[in-house]
Amino acid sequence: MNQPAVFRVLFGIGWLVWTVLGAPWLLLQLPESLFFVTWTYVEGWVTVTWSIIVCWLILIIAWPVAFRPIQVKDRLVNMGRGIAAGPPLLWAGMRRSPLFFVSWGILLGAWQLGSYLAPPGALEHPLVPGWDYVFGDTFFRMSGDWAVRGFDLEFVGLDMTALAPLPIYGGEATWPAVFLAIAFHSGVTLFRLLCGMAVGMSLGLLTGLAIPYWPWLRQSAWAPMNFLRMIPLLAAIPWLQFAVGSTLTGITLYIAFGVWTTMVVATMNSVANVPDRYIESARTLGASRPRTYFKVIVPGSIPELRTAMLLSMGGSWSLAIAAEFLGFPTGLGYMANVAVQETNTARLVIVGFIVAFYSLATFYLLNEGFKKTVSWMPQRTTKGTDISKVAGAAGAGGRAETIEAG
Amino acid sequence: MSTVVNFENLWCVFEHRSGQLVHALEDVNFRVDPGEFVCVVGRSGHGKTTLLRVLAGLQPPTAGAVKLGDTAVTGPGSDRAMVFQQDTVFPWLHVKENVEFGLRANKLPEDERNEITNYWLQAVGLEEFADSWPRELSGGMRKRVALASAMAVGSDVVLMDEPFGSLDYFTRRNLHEVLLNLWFETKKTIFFVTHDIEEALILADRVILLAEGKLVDDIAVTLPRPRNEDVRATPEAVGIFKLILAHLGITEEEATQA
Ligand SMILES: Nc1ncnc2c1ncn2[C@@H]1O[C@H](COP(=O)(O)OP(=O)(O)OP(=O)(O)O)[C@@H](O)[C@H]1O
Ligand SMILES: [Mg+2]
Repeated sequence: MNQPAVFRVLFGIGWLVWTVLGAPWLLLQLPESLFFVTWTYVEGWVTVTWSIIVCWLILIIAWPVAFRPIQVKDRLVNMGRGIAAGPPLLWAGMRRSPLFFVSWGILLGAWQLGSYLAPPGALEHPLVPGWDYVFGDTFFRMSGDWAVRGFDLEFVGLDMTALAPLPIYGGEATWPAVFLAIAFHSGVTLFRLLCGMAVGMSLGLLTGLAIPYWPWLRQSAWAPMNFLRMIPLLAAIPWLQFAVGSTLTGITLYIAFGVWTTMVVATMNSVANVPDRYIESARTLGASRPRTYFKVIVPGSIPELRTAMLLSMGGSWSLAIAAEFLGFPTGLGYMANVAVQETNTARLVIVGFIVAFYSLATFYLLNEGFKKTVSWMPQRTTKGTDISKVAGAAGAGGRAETIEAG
Repeated sequence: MSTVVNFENLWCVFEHRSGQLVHALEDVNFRVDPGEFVCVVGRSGHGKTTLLRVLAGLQPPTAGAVKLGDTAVTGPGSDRAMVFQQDTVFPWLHVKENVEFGLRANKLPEDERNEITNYWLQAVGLEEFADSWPRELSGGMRKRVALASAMAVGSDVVLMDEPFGSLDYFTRRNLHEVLLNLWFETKKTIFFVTHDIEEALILADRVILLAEGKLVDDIAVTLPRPRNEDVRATPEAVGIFKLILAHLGITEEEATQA
């Protein structure tokens, strides 16, 4: 079922508005006499409970179920198939590249071994904590980071103590608090990252595509752009704090600037690397300059842009974490900061795992998105990497030689 | 309708990084009347591509000029479509969109565009692959897409730089026929670079011989058409063949050995 693009866009915008405004508003209107309404709404303060979160999630899902039921059904079926195919796929993966799993196993095992051998050190926590230490006590004590800060909306305040007690205000440590802490801080980081990346990438792409269009601009922009890229952004974090303060705008601008400089230079490079023969061919076919630019140079530079975007995304992760580490009371970077202040390696390891997981996930998503836009490119087959192809070719060559010799 | 193409004291000198000067074209003078089929023949690196690039407006000459009628060529345009020696099919467009590219650039209405595109896809035998990506085609098939794209533009002068170099014997023969039919019908001026003397004898009215950038001979090929095997075995044809060989610096013995 193919609906026109307008419909899909309207559907998406509607869903967003419903999620952020419609559904919460509806929830606050529900009478307390209903058995599942455990939340309260008094003088602009909402006591957030598990029940309101579940109801909110249900309402969010209700939107696509109501407006695009067939797609939802297809999605569910696909998801079911995906989950069913998961274990065999994992097993096949393990058999295809056992080295991957073996090397991970060895690394993890070596770390554990190191924890027994390494001297305990003079600090409160071991320098090389074993996995039992990391995922036992330390993980549980991350409930200490459970606190919701800087999250009040203009018109309504949120009271989240009902979800799990807050250890920083003397509440007891609980497992829900551990996961709430991780969810909240990573949610905050992801949101900042998305804001910064969206602004930086779109502006970077636009600037990077605009500059080469005018040769005089291209010539004059190289030097200043490369200079801007040289600014040590990590050192600029304190400046960011004086200038903008530890606000969402501040960190968005900061990440956006970092992404922007890399994107502009990378985009200019990928435009410059489009082979001349395509441009010449377009010109002899009668294409005007603007047409050649938009129909030949821009699409021709997409494969390299993909690399540029993946790289600048990696960069934006480090910028986000670093900025939070140095100047914010929330986010994964803040969690890392707490770990460092406690000189707690185990905590740092956990934060590291979380960050690695998210950055891999965002990398994967961006890459998947790209696969659709560059379906014209030679696709890598799912089986075997480029390396094994090369190795395979070498093997075939070797065989051919032996046949000739024989 | 077509105009006269005039090469006037054309020089094209390149400076290589070592500082060495390469005379890709040296004082080339000739005139091509409308509707002529000109084959440019010469050894590798002797200036054939450079000659076409100057005519296409992609390479400014060091001295002299190429004139279409009275106006000197200053830049590329769809009045001189070109089939390049390299692969120039746009990988990000489907085969059909590739053939359509020039037509869109020249703002043809859709139905006309479709008609021309389909005609050329059929002419090069790729109608089944209209919706394929170029990466799904073989090298020879991509060459045919490039040919169709250039021909579809419908320019009076067509430049072809070894367009059939990588094609098999049958496809090549087939395309010779397509090309000649088109040429009979439309009386385009065609510049056709090749190093295959046989091919030149099948196609050309005239063979321009380049050696080290100089025009060393301008041979009129007056053989009757169609030029089947019998025609190419006549003493006249064999004479031209040997003449070209001699100009290329190949003796008859070498040729018979090969
Ligand atoms: N852009 C360039 N810069 C420097 N030298 C060039 C350039 N283009 C061509 N040449 C030189 O000009 C000479 C003629 O090249 P050209 O490409 O015209 O040869 P060709 O006859 O088409 O050869 P082939 O049959 O191999 O395609 C060569 O010596 C080449 O090195
Ligand atoms: Mg050439």
